[in-house]
Amino acid sequence: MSFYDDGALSRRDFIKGSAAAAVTLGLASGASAQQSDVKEIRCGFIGVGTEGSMLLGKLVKIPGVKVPAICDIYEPNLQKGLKIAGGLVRGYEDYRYMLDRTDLDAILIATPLNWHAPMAIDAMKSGKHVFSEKMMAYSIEDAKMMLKTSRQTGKLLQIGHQRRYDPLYNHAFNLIKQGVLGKITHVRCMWNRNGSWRRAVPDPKLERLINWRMYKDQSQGLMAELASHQMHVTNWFLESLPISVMGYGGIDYWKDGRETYDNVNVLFEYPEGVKVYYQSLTTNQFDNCYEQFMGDKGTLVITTGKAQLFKEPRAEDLMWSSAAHKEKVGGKEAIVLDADVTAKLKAQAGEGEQIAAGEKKKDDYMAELEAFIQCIREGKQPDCDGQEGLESAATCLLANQAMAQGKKLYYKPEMFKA
Amino acid sequence: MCSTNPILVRMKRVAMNCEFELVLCGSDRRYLIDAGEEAFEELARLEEQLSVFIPTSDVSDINAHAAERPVRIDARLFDLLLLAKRVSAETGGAFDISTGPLVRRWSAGDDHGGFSVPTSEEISQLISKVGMKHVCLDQAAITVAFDRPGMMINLGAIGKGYAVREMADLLRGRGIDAGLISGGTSTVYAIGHAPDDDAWTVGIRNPVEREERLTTVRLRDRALSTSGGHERFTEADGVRYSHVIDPRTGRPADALLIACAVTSDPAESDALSTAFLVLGVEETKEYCSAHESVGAVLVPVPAPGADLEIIRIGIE
Repeated sequence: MSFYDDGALSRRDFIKGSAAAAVTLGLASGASAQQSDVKEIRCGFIGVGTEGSMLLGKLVKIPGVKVPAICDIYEPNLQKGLKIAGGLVRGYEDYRYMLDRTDLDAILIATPLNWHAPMAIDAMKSGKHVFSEKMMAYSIEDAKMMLKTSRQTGKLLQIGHQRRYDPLYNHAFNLIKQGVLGKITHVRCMWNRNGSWRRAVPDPKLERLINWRMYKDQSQGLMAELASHQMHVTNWFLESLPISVMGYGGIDYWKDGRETYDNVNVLFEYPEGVKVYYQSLTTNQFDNCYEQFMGDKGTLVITTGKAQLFKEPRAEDLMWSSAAHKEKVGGKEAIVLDADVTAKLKAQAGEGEQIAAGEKKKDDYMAELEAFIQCIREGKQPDCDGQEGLESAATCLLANQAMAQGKKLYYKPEMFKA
Repeated sequence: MCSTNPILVRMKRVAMNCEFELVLCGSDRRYLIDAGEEAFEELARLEEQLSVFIPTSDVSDINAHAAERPVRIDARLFDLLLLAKRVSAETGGAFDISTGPLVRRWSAGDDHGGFSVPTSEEISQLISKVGMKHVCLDQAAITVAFDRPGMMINLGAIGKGYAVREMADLLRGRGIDAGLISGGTSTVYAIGHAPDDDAWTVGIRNPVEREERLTTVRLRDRALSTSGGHERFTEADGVRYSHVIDPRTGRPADALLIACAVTSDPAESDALSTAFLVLGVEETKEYCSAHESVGAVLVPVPAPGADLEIIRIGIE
């Protein structure tokens, strides 16, 4: 019996797996649509700092999207946002005045964490769909309130975990579902950098406004800003939620007045004995950023733009591996996953079967924004909705509490439900 | 910031196929590093937006779709394309971001893989796919479209200067009032002046004796950009064909060894240095006399055995 007979993973399934990812995403390929062909969606944008301005620059490119309103309390950011959007755009300092407008379909929020919930709730109550950057909210209760408001108002709520819309991540998820890794027993995730994470602030009065990530009244630190992405992927790929968490964090290097940890090292326990180790450093960027899923048949190492599969020595060859692109990594042979592999395999297969061509490479931020707009147009629930956002937020927020209290804490089912 | 207890911080980052360098002057080393890191973050974002080698970049998107339909872009990128179009118009087409088909033919060779000098018919055919008049910019819709298939744009001759400009704006916003920002050997911009001087002194490399300095230019809140046809070329039968193509003729521009432009806008100086290389000495003089804020340094190709001649226009 070959390795994947029981898992029903043939080369053709591998090909279909790739195509399935594209279907799941339901992306408009966007861009080929003429503006006149699609319903115009009018968006207001709150918070155009580094992340927000990057998102805004992509949002305005989506056919049929107009951004006539931008809000930021920091004048240089507001000016930058107006410059990116171009044309007739009104700037606001107070988001509530923007929400009074009746000509907006949706609000996108990329503000400091503590503002996500009040702004999103106000926006949904004023009849707008909401895209909120990650982490979903400052507290579990805030996240639950956002989710409840979405249900009560019938307005869409999407959380900005962009990997959920990345064809490569979707392809990897489908492969895991089909048993490529066997039984996953351990996961390692890390996001390591070497830098202060601090912005240069020209006026001390602006310190807490610009370096909000450093201050506990606005931020949940590394677990919110970085880990929430990777714990979202972990919950998604494992299709389960954590049972308990313990860890160490500290302000051990950047003693510059910050209040949030400059390093976190966390161990999560998931059902069936699965352990998940998470690390984020600001003093050493070795290994940088990836998620590593370790099963009894193989290991997946994935990050934005690249994914590799490593076969365990005792596992049999993958049926489709002869057609895959391989490379040597640390003396081991890795199969490089490619969400565009369909076309390549089609050429090699010579089966004469028409298979959907691999999806054009596009960045995951663009993909999540296109999906949000498409959900509004079609009245569909986002893949990364408030429920997924809550699950990731609760996972990370209890980890912060475990580190602060120096003890093991247990998740309760109600933490993940609104 | 730089006048009291000055500290100089030097930082480098590879982007846009070259090395960007910051020299920042201030009184707090940590602050300067944080500001520099933020400027490099902006540089990385710009590379992802402008590179023709990144399939998800805005420029790749334009090249893939602009012949089919108007492509909506970030208004900042739109402003850059407007600048490219203005410089093209003001230089009589000597600067052109759409010369890709010509450049590729002169640098990569013919359909058979080898290099051959293109025929006049080939050049005429390629020129039909080149020209800013075919790049349609709709200011109301903030879109770009090509009026014919086969066209492409490449911001290689303006993008590094644009990145330098955006980084300079960001650093100024962080209170940096003295420093140098360079994008490879293409463009350098001076913020304010050096701590012990009333300007920054920037050298221009000798295009023949590359370890030597040819001349210097003093900059204060101004940019210097250089272009040279001597650095990238294809050689066949003992003849060097520069990769800098005159969009007007479709043939290599070979009158100058290097051309430098000095203006207050690094993106404009980047574009103008390429234009001057194509225009040659007389037309560059005409341009500078019509644009008093623009200066130039030109080095013509010398006669055999002759010394290099340095022509400075509008620069002390």
